[in-house]
Amino acid sequence: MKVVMMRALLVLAMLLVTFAAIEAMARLTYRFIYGEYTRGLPLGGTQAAETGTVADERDAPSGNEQVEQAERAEQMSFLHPFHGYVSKEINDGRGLLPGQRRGRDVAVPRHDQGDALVVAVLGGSVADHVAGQLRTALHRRISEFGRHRPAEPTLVNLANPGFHQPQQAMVLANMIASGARLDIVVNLDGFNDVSIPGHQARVLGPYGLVHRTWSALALANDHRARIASIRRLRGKARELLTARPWQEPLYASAVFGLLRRFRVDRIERMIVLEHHQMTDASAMRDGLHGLAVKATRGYVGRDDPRIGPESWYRGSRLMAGLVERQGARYYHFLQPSQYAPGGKPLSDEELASAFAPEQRFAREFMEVYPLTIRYGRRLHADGVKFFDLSNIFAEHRETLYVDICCHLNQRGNELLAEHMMRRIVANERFIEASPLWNGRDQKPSA
Amino acid sequence: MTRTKLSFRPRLRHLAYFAIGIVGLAAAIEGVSWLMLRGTANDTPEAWLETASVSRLERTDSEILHPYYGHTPNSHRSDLNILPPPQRQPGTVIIAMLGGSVAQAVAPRLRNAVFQHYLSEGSGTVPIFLDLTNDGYHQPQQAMIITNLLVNGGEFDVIVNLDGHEEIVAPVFNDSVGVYPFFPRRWSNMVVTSDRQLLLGRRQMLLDERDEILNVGWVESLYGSPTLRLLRRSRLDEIAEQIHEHEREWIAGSAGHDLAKHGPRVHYEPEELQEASVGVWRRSSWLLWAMADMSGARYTHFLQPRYAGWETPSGDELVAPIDQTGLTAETYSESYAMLVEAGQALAAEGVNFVDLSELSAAGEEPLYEDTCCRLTERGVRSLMQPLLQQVVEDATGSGVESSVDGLTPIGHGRFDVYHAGNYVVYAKESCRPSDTVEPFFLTVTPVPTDLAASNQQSDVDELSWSFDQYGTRFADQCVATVPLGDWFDASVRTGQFADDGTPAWEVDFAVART
Repeated sequence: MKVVMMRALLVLAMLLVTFAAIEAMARLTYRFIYGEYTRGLPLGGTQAAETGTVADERDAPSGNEQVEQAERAEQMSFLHPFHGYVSKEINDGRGLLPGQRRGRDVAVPRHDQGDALVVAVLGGSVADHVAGQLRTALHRRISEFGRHRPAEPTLVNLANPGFHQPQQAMVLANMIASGARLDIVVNLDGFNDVSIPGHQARVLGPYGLVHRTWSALALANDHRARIASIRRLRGKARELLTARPWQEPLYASAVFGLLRRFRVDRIERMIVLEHHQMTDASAMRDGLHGLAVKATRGYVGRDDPRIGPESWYRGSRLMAGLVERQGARYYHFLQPSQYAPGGKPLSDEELASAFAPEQRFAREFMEVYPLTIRYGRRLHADGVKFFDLSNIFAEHRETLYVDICCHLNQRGNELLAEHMMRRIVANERFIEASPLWNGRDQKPSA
Repeated sequence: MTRTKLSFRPRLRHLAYFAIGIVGLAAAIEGVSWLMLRGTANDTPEAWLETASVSRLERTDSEILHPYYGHTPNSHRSDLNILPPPQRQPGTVIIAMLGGSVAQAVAPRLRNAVFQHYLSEGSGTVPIFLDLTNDGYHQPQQAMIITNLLVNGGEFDVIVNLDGHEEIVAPVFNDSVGVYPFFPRRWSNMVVTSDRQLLLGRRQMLLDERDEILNVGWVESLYGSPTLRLLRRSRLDEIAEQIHEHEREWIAGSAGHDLAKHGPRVHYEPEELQEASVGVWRRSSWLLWAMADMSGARYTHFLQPRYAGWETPSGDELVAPIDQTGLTAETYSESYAMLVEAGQALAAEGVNFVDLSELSAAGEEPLYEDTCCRLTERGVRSLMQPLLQQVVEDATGSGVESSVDGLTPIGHGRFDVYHAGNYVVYAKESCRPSDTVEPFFLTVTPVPTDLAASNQQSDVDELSWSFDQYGTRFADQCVATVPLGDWFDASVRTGQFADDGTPAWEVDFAVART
């Protein structure tokens, strides 16, 4: 019995020594690779697994940021084959998708249905926001339209948040192809056209005229399985990092800690690999991502500030030509901005919450704005009915801007709509007074 | 000593019995497993990799999404994927060709015929031919392309659009699968909504697990054991069943209407759809004409030959001849007659409209090989003559400026070469954007002059010359003479590129022939 006891003790001692040796080796290995072992896994060391963050050499979004952008974009918008994307908030009879209006199916707007004057509004979010007030102003002032006095004007909101050229031109062309017959086309834009393309080109490297929302949606679309896989891996990593109560004592041992760490590392590597598949040049060479997200293999210099204003100018020229050939009138307004020199004496409230000149987009805007003004003058000289509204609030001291971008409160939108409508009415009356005016029923059949 | 020996032998015997028992049991299990595996399908890794019908869920990689055209070929070489578009320069004529699959079949030949024409003419005019055709394109896609290129600064001298067939077929096809008729063909296959991403994610996870099981490396040798193979097979069976379940879910989920995938829900009666399709075709052509006119280009719209072979070899009429859309020969012919009529209306408005719809009837040999508009050799030849004639006529009338200063500038970024000889490549500004970027190189992509083989895109490897080959003169003065010959088409790209061809930086270069 004594011998058996002795042997058992010997075996136990050997086991303990072996375990201690393994434990010591594990701690040493851990220390060698990761530093001092602690029971709780330091999150800092496993940041990629937890957050999916992958550093990027360029100024481009990390893989994780791209995934987040894709998820955000999907919540707000969906892909459109010709306009890039469409906001999910289709709430105002807009015809971005011909036939889709207030959830019902209606025809594409046509001026020749009844006696209605059809006015279409194009642009980005500011145009989208002002469309309601513009409609009110249109109804109020319709009697001032001279002898061309339609009974019931219709305003179609074709604006979409984030749009910039060539999107306004694409929407207009698609609407014409779809059979829209418009009397007046109003384009209110400028801020996105100036502040987005250059920045977009620098960050993602594509030709700047592809909107980031589209890029994010295309990324989500092309890497849908990969994004789902990243989510699954993140879930696994979180599971490992949050030990269950019965597992907790095990992690007093560096052996278990090391094993867990190795597993987390493996997941981390897999996440990084997935991100690299999405962002790496290798993925671009092999398949969809590069071309799809960038939309083109552009040759334009990435920091060329002319990209935005030039396209803005060309887009407007094209729109004006198409609209006029349809026998309709085109009005182009450069939207007001708190960043335009002399644009507005800002109230304290605006200075606190609606003015951030240090922001990248604001810097971009201020840098390119003078060029935009020059192109605006060219539009005017080319015969386009172009109006620079960037200083219309120069005398208004009250709060009108509601955010650091460009959006206005109700009062601001009302003022803007009134300014726009005043110019439209004046021109319409002038056009109708002209001996060249042959009536709106004489439009070409197209 | 004796006691030890006596006590050890029985233990050994027991151990031996135990071992024999274990081996026997294992052999029995292996035997049963072997019997169970007998007569079943091959379960090699290769066989298992084919178990999931991947193609049913995954979009083809041959096309990629495009923000304004719907989709484009997944190729860096496609003219549809290159921006900015070319701009007019003295001595060049910029020709753009638009259309769907028929135009796509003709475009490479037309391109070479145009080059050959200018080569034999010897005027020094250099054609820049943009092939903007793509399989499946239908209006308003052609109009969208030109809109985008013009806003991006493109300039054209000649725009040729060859279409008609797809404008009738694609809307019917889209309508039959619940997609807005005037969205790109198969749009619903290209767009995946977020809720279905999860389905794909789960499926991807199963595929990953399957691949992990199959790609086992050294463990593969263990699968000599029928038992282990049976266990593996069981898990793979389970995975395959789950994958198929996901596919069933996917197909079931396709039935619902989704704005992103299907576009606006508009109900058309067959006659209304016919009218709407012709209307979109006509208005889009008007748009192209208007845009061409505004930008100083000449636009010609060719109505492509209608498909005439509407009978099976047994003489029966094909009821659903194209993509199971239900489009009958009668409806197709009616629609074509409407296109001809609408084309005449376009001509009355000033559009140069050329009706080639009856070209099929003009000869005995068929123009099309199949019901989906693949052209025969006669078909291509029949279309070439009127197209070439029109392009040359339009180009001649477009007022192309001749060469200047003894050099013939032939564009920048991309250019077409048809005279062998020396070419000067010079930077317009600085050719050294930063001191840290090295080396500076020039890439030329040649296309063989063999016209017989020119129907295919060039697969010739890109040739690269380091700037060093041209000595320091190039680097210092940003000018180099490049000998080019034996090919017609070349593109010069300058700057430093990543492996995938993405320019890390670029310099605006001009190319001139000495």
